[in-house]
Amino acid sequence: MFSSELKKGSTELLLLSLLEARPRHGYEIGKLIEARSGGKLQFKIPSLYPTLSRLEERGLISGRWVEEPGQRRRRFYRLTKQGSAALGEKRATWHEYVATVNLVIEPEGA
Amino acid sequence: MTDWNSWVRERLDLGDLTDTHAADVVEEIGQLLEDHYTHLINSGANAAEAEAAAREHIDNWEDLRADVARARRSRRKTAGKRIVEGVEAKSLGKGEHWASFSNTLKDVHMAGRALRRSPASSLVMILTLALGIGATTAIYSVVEAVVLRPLPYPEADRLGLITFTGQGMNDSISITPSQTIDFAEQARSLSTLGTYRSFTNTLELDDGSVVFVPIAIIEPQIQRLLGISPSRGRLLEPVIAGETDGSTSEAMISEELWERHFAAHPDILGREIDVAGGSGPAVIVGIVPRGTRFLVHPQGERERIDVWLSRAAVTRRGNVFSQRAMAQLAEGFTFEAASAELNSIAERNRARDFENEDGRGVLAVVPLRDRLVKAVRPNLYLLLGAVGFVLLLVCVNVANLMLVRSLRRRQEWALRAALGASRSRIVRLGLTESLVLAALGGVLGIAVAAGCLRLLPLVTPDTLPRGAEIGINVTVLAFAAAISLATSLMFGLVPAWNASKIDLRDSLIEGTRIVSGAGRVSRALITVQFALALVLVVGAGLMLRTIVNLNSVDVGFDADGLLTFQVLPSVSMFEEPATRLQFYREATARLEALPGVESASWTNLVPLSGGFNSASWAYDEETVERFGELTAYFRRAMPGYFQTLGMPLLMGRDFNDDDVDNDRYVLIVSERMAEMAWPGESPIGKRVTIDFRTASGMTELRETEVIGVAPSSREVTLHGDEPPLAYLPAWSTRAVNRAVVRTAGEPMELLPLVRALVKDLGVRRPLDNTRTVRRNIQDATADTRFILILTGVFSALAVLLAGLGVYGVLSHLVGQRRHEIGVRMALGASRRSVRSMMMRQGLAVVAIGLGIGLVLALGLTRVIESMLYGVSATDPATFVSVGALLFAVAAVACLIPATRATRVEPVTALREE
Repeated sequence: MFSSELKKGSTELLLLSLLEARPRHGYEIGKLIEARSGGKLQFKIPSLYPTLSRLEERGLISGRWVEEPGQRRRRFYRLTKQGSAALGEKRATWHEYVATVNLVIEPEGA
Repeated sequence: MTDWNSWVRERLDLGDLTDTHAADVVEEIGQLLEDHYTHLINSGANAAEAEAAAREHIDNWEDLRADVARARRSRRKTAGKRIVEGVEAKSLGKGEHWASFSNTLKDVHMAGRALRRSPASSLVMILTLALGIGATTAIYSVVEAVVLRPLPYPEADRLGLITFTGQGMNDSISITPSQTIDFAEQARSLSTLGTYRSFTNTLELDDGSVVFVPIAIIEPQIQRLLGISPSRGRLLEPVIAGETDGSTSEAMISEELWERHFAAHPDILGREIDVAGGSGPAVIVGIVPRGTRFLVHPQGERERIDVWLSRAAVTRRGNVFSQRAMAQLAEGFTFEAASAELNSIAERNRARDFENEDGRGVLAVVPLRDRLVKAVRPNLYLLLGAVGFVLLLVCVNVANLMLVRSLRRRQEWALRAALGASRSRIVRLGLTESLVLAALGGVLGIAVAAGCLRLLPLVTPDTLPRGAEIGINVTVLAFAAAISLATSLMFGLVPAWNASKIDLRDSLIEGTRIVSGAGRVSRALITVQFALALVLVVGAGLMLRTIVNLNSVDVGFDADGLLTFQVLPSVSMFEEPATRLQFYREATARLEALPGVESASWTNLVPLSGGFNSASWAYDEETVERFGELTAYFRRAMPGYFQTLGMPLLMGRDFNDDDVDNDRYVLIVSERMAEMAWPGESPIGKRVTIDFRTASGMTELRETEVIGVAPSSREVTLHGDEPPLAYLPAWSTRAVNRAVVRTAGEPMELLPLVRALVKDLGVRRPLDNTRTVRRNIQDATADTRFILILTGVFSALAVLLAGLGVYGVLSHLVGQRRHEIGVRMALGASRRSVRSMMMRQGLAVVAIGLGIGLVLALGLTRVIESMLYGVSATDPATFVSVGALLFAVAAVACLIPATRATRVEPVTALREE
């Protein structure tokens, strides 16, 4: 649907925004992206998991294992202080970018 | 159902990560797969379908492994040590090495793609770089071989030559035999001292033919200083003076001579060899390996020796400054300390060898390398500087092309930035492009350098020391790599940085219109180019004026049509002065009888052949009091010398046979000497006392009588003031074996006849130094011509680059301003006004550059002041004409794009926007 480059560039933004409200585990994040995009964005483990790891490595999110009764333990991620600052910045850039592209792609004289 | 953890563990090799972390990764990915499986079941799939789909979910395990490893820098194992959380790992793990290498590959790949996208400009950049890097590398390889490379001797830094500069003497490198012995015995600062002599003379081969070979006669300790190790046989053994009389001495020959003239015969050792100028036949005891050099002569003479002869130890005989000595400093001494010690030893012993004030002077131990390259070093550094300017110009040109290209690619950069590429990533991509360009330019440049080095012998003077060692070696390659890297930074950083500063919104909206900032940079670069080019061209212009001046120097005689050669009769032939004179007279008569020969005579030094003899002279006590000791250059001449040279005497008479036969001390002085000594008086009949000390090394005062005045001529040097010159008749000396022959036609065509004639007179050895005087004049200007040719080539390159630079930038500017030009023309601007507006744009920048260049040149031409002749380093005519020339080139370069601007159709240009 969208070019992989575009997706790659925005994956971090997507993940960070989904963690803004509350901590979530990996699969939940993947499913949420699919659901909210109406199935237009489909995330696979090979792109999702390393991105989570990278964000954690950079200290933008932090993960910990949580055991829920009757289930195997899952790793939940939450946004760190640094992460929410980065999210604000990325969101602004994105909006600016989209607005800019819109300006360019609008038909002339419209 | 699959155990997803084991499924993952079997497929994901996380050897790079710490064990606990690897387990976490496996567990989490396993959980994700299990969640996926559960999700599929819940969506209505059957177990088999869900399991198959989950298994195929991860299609490339290797990529996942690499991605995880890259993401988890801090969780990696490093040499068994745990890394503190949050601290970046210093050394990279295996996976990371690969990842960073593959990233670099990716960058290089992207750079290659970007360069291929505009092949023409990429090619221009690569070729420009190749030219700049190649020329610089070629000149560097000369500097490296001649100036920088250590001499090929063990402990070469401690080798020196002992020089003596006597009062009123020219710099000389000889010392007396007594001094040699004193220094060897007493100087604590010298660990070894040995004397040597080198010359070219003839070797008679078994088949009766005679060849010239370079010969060195050395004391055996010199072999150790030079680190000679024979490829066959052994080194020379010390000769004890007096014991070798009549018996044979020892010789080593070069591998080249052995192959060339002895067919590499294996039984060469033990054979006898007899070279003229040696002390009789010598037994060959060793073969000296190819590439052995005897580097003692600053003019690059006889660097390869074919015959090494042993020399008996020096004995105390006479106080003649006849010995050339090479010495090695003892451990812990400097050249200054050694010089000081030699001076004090010499002064202590001076009274034993000399009377009065004789033998006073300054001794010095001069580092061998300095002695060799001191004269050429400034020239070579000058050329390296000049070619460095060319390289700078190349960088500026390429930077400008890159800048223009990066402007065209602003949207690409902007998109990358919007997608999250950081500034450093963009700069890195830009730099990678530059590096790829520079690498390609560098590789091609080495080929260019190799080509230049093949052409170089056509222009390098024969007098360049160590010329044979010039070539491309590891050091030169490293230099080429280093300057390629440096240039890529120089031409790559500005555009890359400029690109990274992109304002997203601006560049996306503005399309490709030029940004004023980048335009400023382009124009600044053009300014720099013209400034650099002007300095180079002014330098070349001054050298050109110098050459023209030197070539039009009035030498005072007719230099055209003069053949000179040297005869080498055997010692026995010349034993008796009478037979010697007989030979010369007969030779003269027969030479003059040859067709096309007008006259012939003999001398000891051919005009402008570089050699000189000087001696101090005085004509009365009053002069000595007034001027101190005067020095003149002395030459010997047979009757007819002045007539042959075409410089008829101004007063008095020529030498005659009677003067020669009776060893008369009569003198013909140059007009210059006459003016110095007897202003306003006739010199004829005046008496002059000459001190022949420096000519023979011994004090020998002789009174002579002036019988003639010759016109002042440039027989000694083309440069500087012509020194006073005096001629003595060629009586007893043996050295008067150089012929000067006035011919009507081309002098060198006469040689076969001359050879036959001399052979017929009983001289078996071939003629030496067969040259024309015109050739001597050319050789005297060889150094200047060498610099002129190279700076000329560099200047031409510089002008071309600067012209292309301003052309490129203005063309681009015209392209960017089509819209504006269209508006102007729609509003009624004439084509002419548009053209002159664009011309002004380009030429204003050029004019600033030329202004800066003029100021720079005023400062920098001082460097070449000492190389100039007849023109000042700030010669206004040269400066102005070079400035005008460059301005004209710039005007032509600007005219093309400016004219193109006038062809803009207003309607089309406006519609395009």
